[in-house]
Amino acid sequence: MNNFIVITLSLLLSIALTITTFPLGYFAPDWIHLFLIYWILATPGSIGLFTAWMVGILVDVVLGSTLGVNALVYSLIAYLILKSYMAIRYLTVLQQGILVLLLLLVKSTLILWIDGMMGISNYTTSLYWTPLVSALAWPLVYYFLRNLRRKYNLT
Amino acid sequence: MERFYKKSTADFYTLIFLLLLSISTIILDYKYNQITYIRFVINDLIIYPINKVSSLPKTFINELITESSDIKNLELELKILEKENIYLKIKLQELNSLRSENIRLRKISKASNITSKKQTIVKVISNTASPNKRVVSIDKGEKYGVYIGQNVIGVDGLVGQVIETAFVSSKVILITESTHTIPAVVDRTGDNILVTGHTDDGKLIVPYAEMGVDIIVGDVISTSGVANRFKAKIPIGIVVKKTSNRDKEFSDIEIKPFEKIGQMSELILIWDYKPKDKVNE
Repeated sequence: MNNFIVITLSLLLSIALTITTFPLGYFAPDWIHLFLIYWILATPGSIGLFTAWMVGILVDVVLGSTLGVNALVYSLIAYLILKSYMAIRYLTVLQQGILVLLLLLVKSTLILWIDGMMGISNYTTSLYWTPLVSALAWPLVYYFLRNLRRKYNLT
Repeated sequence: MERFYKKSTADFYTLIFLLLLSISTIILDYKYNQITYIRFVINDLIIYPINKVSSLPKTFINELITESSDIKNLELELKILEKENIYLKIKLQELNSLRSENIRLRKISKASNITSKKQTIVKVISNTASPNKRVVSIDKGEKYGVYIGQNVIGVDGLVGQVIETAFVSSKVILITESTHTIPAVVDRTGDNILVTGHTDDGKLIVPYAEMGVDIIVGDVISTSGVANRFKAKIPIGIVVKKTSNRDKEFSDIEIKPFEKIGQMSELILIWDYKPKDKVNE
């Protein structure tokens, strides 16, 4: 129960962060995804693919993109992390940051690809700035959420 | 080992299921606009409260600033406003006579342009409601009958149109968005043109204007009502620059909108005009 409340509240916080950093455009970190990646890594037992998918739908509404685009990539990346969280946990924060960069690059490419298939130019190639900025913000998110997790003793 | 195998495949099938689910929601949303109510519910239950809470510090600071502003400044402002009011009242008299004349003339020409009777003033909640588009969110939604495609104006001219509605808030796309185009007309000549937003803020351009087109600097551009998306005769902006380069096929025409689009705190919704065909996003 404790898990549920803290994780939900932190995800709501990440949505608030996303909304307040809208003016930065593509240079805003992908807060929601960073938070979700952390929680999957730290508590794979309480966050599954369904949660990732629902967060993705939420992101679609926040960003105003076609419903399902982000849900698709969120569940895909959640699967990749769920299958390899054991290995990722042993990496240093810096190495994890690089991994986050790669994962988000894949995500951006997929989103642009789906967008192009539908013929609506919701995004431009400047979308590739977001993974870079997000990777730089990863240590921040990591230490913040780790403190939170230790404080509330989440497993 | 077997347990591990089972869990592994279960996860895999969940993934496949979710991927198919995503694809079907994409198709439903994109092709048929069927599941907008999901957007509607999430917007009202989750996004709107978060938006309100996260804009609290901003509103608090703004209020502090207003409260601390000098009384003298306010008095000065009052004087200016009083002067303006008298001036506007005089203008209104002229306009009233002009309007009756206009109505008489219209009866003759049987045109059906009516001035808006009902307007609603709405507040802008956030000036950037999307990371990559010029979209603002306003504080009125379906509760007040706001509909998709509704024309949004400012005091001086066109601002945009409603593209998404929720119960207590809506989103308005601005005319300066570079993927947004308005059917327009040059007031002086009556020529129909298109007006598109530009990636530079506060600038509109006319795409595909032939070299010989009769537009000069200082021309007023307003909506034409073609395509039934915008009401006719809403002023958009004034032509500030025209360059005809022989190397290019079209001339570059720059329009400055009448409104300070993107920096407004209040907008006006007009009600007497509804787009005739269904608006797809």
